[in-house]
Amino acid sequence: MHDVLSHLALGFSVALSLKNFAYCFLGVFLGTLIGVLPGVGPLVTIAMLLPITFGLDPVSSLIMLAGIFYGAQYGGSTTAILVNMPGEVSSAVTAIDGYQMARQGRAGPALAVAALSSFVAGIISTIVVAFFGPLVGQWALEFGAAEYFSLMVMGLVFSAVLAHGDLVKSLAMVLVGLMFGLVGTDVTSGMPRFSFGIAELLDGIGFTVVAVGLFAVAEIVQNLAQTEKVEVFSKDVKDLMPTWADIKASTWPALRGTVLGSLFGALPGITASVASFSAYMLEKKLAKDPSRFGHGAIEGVAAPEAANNAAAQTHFIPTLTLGIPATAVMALVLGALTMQGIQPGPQVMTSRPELFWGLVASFVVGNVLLLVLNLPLVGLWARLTQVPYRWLFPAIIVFATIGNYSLNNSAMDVYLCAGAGVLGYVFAKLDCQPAPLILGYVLGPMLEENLRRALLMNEGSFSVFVSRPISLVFLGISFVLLAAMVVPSLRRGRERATEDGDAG
Amino acid sequence: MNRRVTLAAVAATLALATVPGLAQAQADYPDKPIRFIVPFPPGGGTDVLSRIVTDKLNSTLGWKVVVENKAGAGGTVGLDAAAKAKPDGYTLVMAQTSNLSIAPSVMSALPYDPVKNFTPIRLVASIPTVIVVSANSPFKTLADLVAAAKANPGKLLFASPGNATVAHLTGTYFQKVAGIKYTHVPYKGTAQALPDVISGRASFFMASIESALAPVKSGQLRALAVTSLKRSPHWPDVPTVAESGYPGFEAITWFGVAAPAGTPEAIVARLDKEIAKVLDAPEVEARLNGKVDVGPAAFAALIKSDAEKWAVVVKENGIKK
Amino acid sequence: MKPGLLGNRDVLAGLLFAAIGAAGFTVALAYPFGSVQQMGPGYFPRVLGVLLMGFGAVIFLRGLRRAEAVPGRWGWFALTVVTVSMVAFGWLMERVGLVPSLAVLVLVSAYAGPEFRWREALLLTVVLCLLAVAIFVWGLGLPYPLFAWEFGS
Repeated sequence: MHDVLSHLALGFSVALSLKNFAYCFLGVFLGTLIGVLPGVGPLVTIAMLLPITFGLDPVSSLIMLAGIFYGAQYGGSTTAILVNMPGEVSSAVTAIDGYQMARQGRAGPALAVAALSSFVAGIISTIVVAFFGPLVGQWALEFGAAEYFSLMVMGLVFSAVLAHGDLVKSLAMVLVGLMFGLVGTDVTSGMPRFSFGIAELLDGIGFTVVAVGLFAVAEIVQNLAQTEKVEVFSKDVKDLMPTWADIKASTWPALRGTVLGSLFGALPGITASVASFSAYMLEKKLAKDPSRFGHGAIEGVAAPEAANNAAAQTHFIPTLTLGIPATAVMALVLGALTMQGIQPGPQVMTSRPELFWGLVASFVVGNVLLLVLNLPLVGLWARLTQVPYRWLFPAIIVFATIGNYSLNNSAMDVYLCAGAGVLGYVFAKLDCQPAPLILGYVLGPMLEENLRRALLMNEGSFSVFVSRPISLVFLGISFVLLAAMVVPSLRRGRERATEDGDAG
Repeated sequence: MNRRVTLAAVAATLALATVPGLAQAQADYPDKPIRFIVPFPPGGGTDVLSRIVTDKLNSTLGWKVVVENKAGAGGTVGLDAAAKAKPDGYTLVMAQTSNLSIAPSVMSALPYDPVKNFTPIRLVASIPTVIVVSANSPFKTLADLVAAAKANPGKLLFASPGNATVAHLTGTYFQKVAGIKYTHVPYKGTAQALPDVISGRASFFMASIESALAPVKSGQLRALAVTSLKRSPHWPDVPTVAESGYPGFEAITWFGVAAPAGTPEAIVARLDKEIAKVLDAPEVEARLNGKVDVGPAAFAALIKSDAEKWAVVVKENGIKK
Repeated sequence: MKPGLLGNRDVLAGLLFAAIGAAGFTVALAYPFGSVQQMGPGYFPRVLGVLLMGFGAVIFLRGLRRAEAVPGRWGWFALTVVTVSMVAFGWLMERVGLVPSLAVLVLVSAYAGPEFRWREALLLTVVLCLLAVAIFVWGLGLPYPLFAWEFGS
């Protein structure tokens, strides 16, 4: 304990040096700007800045890269809330309620609560990294194919209750997502599936392509197709800052989201998606009136935002302590470290304390900067919703389209996004929610891959899923949840389920 | 006012961008930006490697070599774009073993011909595959691993970073060379495989030496052998497969700059010379962990010999991509 | 008022799900099925296909019983125009460069709105083109030609 504190003191002395503070600010600033653009995520930014960082000392370059990363994570939520355009998997959840709040003239509070929950989560998860880093790293190593499979199953069960509205349709949407996720080369056999001879499809359809099409494009078409003139955004902007009641309603969801995010963020391969979906699901389950979710519930913004920012912080644990990058961005960070001659691993905390603790302390500094930077911007962003929609929507289409094009510099991604938009619009008209599809889409390939890998590695025996304790726990939770959903509706007959469906 | 200035800038850029591409004297090559296609997303190994080279070209020569990431289908999309580009020296591509020597035998409808559509310029890096096991593994040497595989045919789990990767083919090839059999467990990439390898759930793992560097140095993995003919400067004490009783065994992942077929010889020679100079720079050598000296002719020969080697492995084992 | 079959929300949703399932199933017939112990690449998609067809059927039947209409009207015009604008951008981008492609994208997509005004749309095109070029080309250094003329190949 005392050790950690003295290490943290060392870390702050590093992170608060004028030079590192400047790089932290630069990283966070660039990250926020970049994160707002869909497609052009932190990956492109970091890749472009990487050569610059060669010239810096390792600590400064790492601090700047980290700043870009979580800055972008935050920036992505801004467009999700304002124009229903999630740039990252995790912000797809934020879009559900955040965008509804924006339409009701509450973009300000939504953005502010997103910033505040991200901040709280960032600080708390930094403490988690500081105190439990190596422990969490070891936990991540326990995850084999069986554990991942069971975790995915749990995630999918969560997703069924995610959408407001009809359970049967939500499940069907999950299945559609799973099906789309199969497009591309099968990892286990190397066989191309559903690619129809199109080379661009061999790697699967990019997440941004699907998400922007299903959410942003479909939403625009829906708004344009209204017969009677309806305002997309309420003209009556209530308040820019959250009220005391908003803060109170968000506190616990943000804290719970932080816990989930910290845990899931440390798992290599699991991006923040499971964390933010789970956090949303949990809040909806705990809420007194779950029907508010999907119609602008502030908890639905606070919890997933906290979860994804916490996960962004704990992503660094496996990267630094095991040398295993949790995401593509972390792989870059790892590459940058190796080029600087630093070997990540369990001993990095002791062999390079100024690096590890300097980075940890910079998380705190960065999160403070992020808050200071973004709270004043809330008003500016919120005013964006007051721009006449006939100007706003072409702008959204422009950014969505160039963003998708820039992913692979390929027109195919733009075509696919347009296609996803058509599908998204049809689904929306038929009252089918896009969020479960997105989760199925993200988890599907991992679900199949890990199922088949688990069987391959255990001579085709299913016992592995119940004989390994972590896997058993996940499956148990999934089963209980599923039972809790199905049994009451069976007992109470169909009427209630019907009512629930109509509410959506 | 401001808008007028910006418009003027647009017009100027427009003028620059549309200068007619008349037959320029090679003496003033390059007189416009060079497009450098990286067939993988930003941030990956290929991208970083490419940017090290292009940055050095730009900083020392004042050229404007612009990286364009055109990812998809394991590099096929980017290579195809390069193959179809004008062979005027203003389009280059970073190609590697899998694109030029493996793809022709594993991909059913490869849109380009690795030999006919490209002019190889210069190899930039040559990276051996490494055989690693968990630090807790009972296997201390390659011989231990081979003996265990002989005793339990098909029981050992061979993790690889993906189907039809150099590592997968190397592992498959080694089965034949050593007369053993094990089960292949493909992952989506090195990062996905590492937890299973470190914890010992997979018996052993083959991957490019770069990706296994960190966990080996930190003591979580043990390197049993490398697949280059000579030992790696990273680990002088790790034996090669060749010296462990399988003479001549060699499997490397190489990366090299290529241009579309038909690029003028003078430009190829110029690029070859400049890239060779870049590779000679001490800081580039340090970044790339060693130097290779393979010019256009030797590069072409390497593409051919590797293609023949891997075609046999692919055919005998029915490997698909 | 009872909607006809083509205006019945859940009937249509059921058909759509079943169609996606059937399409996936059919395509996956070409992939090896494997066994439960050793699943082939065709196993998962076929199981998914069957499940989707099942869900589709349930939703279809429920739609027949409940008969709820699709709310509002279908915005085919807006949908087509927006889709066309994006596809046109993708196609033009690889031929005429960023600025003309963007101009087409903005002008065409703006036409999808209920209150299209020429002068505004043109102004919007100029502003958005400048903004996009500034951010993506000058700011982020993405390697796109502003203007080009590459047809053929």
